[in-house]
This record gives sequence, structure tokens and C-alpha cells, in this order.
Amino acid sequence: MSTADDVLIVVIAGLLSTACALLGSFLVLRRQALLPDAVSHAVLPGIVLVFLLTGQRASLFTVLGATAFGVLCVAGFEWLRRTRIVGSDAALALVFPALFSLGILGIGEFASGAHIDLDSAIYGDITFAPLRTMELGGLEVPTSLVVTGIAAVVIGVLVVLLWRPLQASTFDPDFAELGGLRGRLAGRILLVAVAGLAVVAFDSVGAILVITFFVVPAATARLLTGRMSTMLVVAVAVGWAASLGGHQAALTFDTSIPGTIGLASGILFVLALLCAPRRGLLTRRRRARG
Amino acid sequence: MTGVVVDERRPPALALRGVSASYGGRAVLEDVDLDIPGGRLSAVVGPNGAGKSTLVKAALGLVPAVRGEVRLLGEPLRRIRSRVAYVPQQDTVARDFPITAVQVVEMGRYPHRGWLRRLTRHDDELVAAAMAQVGVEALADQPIDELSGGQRQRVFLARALAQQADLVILDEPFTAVDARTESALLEVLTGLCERGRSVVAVHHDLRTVRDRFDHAALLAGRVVAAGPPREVLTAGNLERAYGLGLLVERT
Repeated sequence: MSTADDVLIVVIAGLLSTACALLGSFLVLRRQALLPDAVSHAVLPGIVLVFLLTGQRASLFTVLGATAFGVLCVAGFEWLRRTRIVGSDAALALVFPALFSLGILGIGEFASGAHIDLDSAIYGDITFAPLRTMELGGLEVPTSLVVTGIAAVVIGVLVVLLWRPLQASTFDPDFAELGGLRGRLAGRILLVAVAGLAVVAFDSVGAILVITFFVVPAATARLLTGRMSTMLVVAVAVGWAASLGGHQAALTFDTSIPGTIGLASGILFVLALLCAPRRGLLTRRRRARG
Repeated sequence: MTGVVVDERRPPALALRGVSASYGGRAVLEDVDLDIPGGRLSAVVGPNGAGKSTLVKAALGLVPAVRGEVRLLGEPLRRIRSRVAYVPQQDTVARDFPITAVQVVEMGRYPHRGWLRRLTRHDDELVAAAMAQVGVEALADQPIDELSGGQRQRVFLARALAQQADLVILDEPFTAVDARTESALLEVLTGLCERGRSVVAVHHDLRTVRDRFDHAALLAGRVVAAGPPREVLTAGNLERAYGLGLLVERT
């Protein structure tokens, strides 16, 4: 019962979850898991601005404008956090509502006739991903497949290159900075990569799946492993398993694909939470009794 | 005290001139001049809020908005980064980070190998030797979050040893550490000084400072006294530091 389109959807979701899980693992450990969610709101003024300048609602410029404001959001967050006057969570919660409000005001003032709603402007849906195609070497290829494929490779290379500074600065930021590992620089590159990946991925598959993929596989993997490298591998595997399982469930129950993939991720997390070999709740209880 | 013969021509481990620093928007250190001698086991002591941690962090460039000049082993920080090892306060380390003890110690080689160069067999040997020296070789593959406070602190000291640094700076290394571990770690640090390395520890237990350290700097937002511990930790100086400390806390 599965067609070429079904395979495509699973592959696109899997590639995206690969890129998101690699970065998301660091975000979860750095207690910045809400960052992709914040970015999803902060990009709105970028979309409005591009519309005002070019009249376009869903173009390459839209993605660029959105990315610019995503980066602005993480830059503002990073600056506020560094002052140590407000906490990390508050810094994030202060920045993105301001940007989102700016976008809302922009729509109200200048673009009320344009019917910019977030869904049509940038938040795609993975269900329709196989239908939007582009030409690549004479072949009609789904745009999302190209985008998520490139994203997975670029993020994979980035994580390999930044492995030591990211690992050291997540674990022990002062040591990483002092030892000349440029931990802060690596951290900033991570944030910019998150903002860029989030925007590109919103466009391909929709915001909810992106936020799910950044956080849930990483959090699940953390419960199952005691080493960072293993955690990344497990997180990617959880992402692919959720994509495959969620897609199958959507076919079986004839319902929303992003919804079932998100739910499948949640179920995998709960299973790990209960049954993980060392950290699982049931495992601990059994050990406490025995 | 180690009783080592100190080469007076040796540059000071830390030399601060006119250093001011703030932390979280609050001025903590004002115009501090201080020399901490090289090749010795030195303590930075003082009441809570006296600026002990801020002093070492400012010296290491970890606290922004510093005014004044700092030299480590006679050099500006940027020229000797890999020669300075830092053991941070335990609460600045991400406890739930998935990493094993041996991987933490391997980090001590990162400052020499940078982002991408592979660790060599020589690096592996230094890592193994450092772990053996503090008695954690059996814990190598344990995740760090499953270790006790004392075991964890031994692992962090092993990281500093593996780095082969000439200056080791520790921030409150003995909090949440059992007495036996504290004594063992102090022995390792004394051994480092006997081999010409310099050790500076932020510390709050005045008795160990008196018994085991070569040098003490007593802080209270400024330097109250610095020199041999018995001369520094007098009743009069302590009164000045800890009395003043209370005033600083209130403002």
C-alpha cells in the first residue's frame, strides 16, 4: 500500500530528523530546547518585511528574510544571557515575543490586505512535500528532499568539525573558553545553524514537526546512553523510527502525517522514560525494590 | 608547607595591577594589585562575596568588563592558554552531560590539539598516567553523573594533570569532597609545586590554608593581606576581612 510518495515522505522526515537531532542534542544539554520554538515566532517580521519590499509571500527571499530574523532572535538571546542580569530562559522569552509582536504590528499597519497567514507564508506541511518539485540535473525532484538532504549533510559536517568545542563548552564552558577552544564561537555557530535549519525546515515540513525533531529524539536518546557520541546516533535512530512508525500510523488511520510522527516521537520518549536500562522510572523502581 | 626553595627570579603565578571586575552587574573587585608567587601552593581566601572566584575568573578572562592588567607566569593570557589549567566550581559544570570519566580527562589534551587534530598515543599515555595519579583509573568508563563528589573532583584534577599545565587554578576544589580525598588531592597539588608548577586555589577552610599552603591572599573586595599564611591569617586581618565582607554584602 505504500507508494513512491510514501517512501519520499518518510525519507524527507528522516533526513530532517537527522539534522534536527544532531543540533537538538546539544540544545537539550545546553538547556536551550525552546530555541527552535522561539525562532518559529521570531521569523514573522522577516516574512512581513520581505512581503513589503517585494510583494512575495513564499519565495527564496521569504526564507532569507525569515532566517535573518531567526538569527537576530538568537543573537539577542545570546547577548541578554551573557549580561547575566536575566536568566537564560527569561532571555529567550523576552526576545521572541518582541519580534513576533513586531511582525503582528507590521501586518496590521502595512499588510492587512495581503492575507499573510503563517501557514501560507512559510509553514509547509510534509504531506504535500512530494508535490512541490524543482529541477535538478534534468530530473524533477521534490524541493523538500533536496533541502533536507543538504541540511542533513551540512549539519553532519558541522557537528564533526565543531565536535570538540561544542562538547567541551556544553559540558564545561569556562574550561572550553580558557583552553583556547573558542567555545563561545562554537556556541554561536550552533545557534545560527539552529535558526537557519529551523526556517528552512518550517518551509519544507511545518513548524510542529521541526520543534518535535529538535527536542524529542535528543531527550529520548539522553535517557538511553551515557556518552555524547552514542547519544547523537541514538537520537538520529529515534527520529527515523518515529518518521517510519508515524507515517505508517497516518496511513492506517488515514490522518495527519505530522501529527502521527509527532505522536510517535512522544510515545518513543515515554517508553524510554519508563524502561531505559539505567535511568528509566520502572527500572529504577525495580532496582530500589530488589 | 612544602619547604621548597623558591627561585625569586621566577615570574609570579598571577600578577594583577589595578584590576576591577563586576559580576552580574555588581562591582565585586575594586582596583586590586596582587602578586601570587610562582612554584608554590597558594590560596585565595575571604568571606562570601569577597570576590575570590571573580578574581581568578577575571585573571583567566572568564568574567567580562575587567579593567586593569593581568599577567600569568609573566605573560598575557592569550600567549599561554594551553599552559594554564582550570578546575571550575562544580556547579558551573553540566552535571547531566553524557560523558565518561576518561573522556573528561582527555579534554585536558584538547588545548594542545585544538578542534581537529587527533589525540596521539602520547596523549593517551598522559591521560592514563593522570588518572592513575589521582586513583581513578578504575572509573575510566563510568559516566560522570554516576560518580560521587570526591570521585568527580579527582577526575577534574586528572584533567588538569593531563594538560601538563605550568599553572593550575582551582575554584573551591574541596566543596562536597570527603576529608580523605581532600588530603589526597592536596598531596598531588603539593607534588606539582615541588616539580616547579604553580597552583592557585580559591578556598574557604582557613585551617587547611594555614597547615598545607605556602601562600595566602586574603580578599574582601580588595586585598586585605597577602603572604605566608601564618602572617596573613591573623586575628586582626580576619576581623578586617570578614567584618568588611559583611558591609560589602549589605551594600
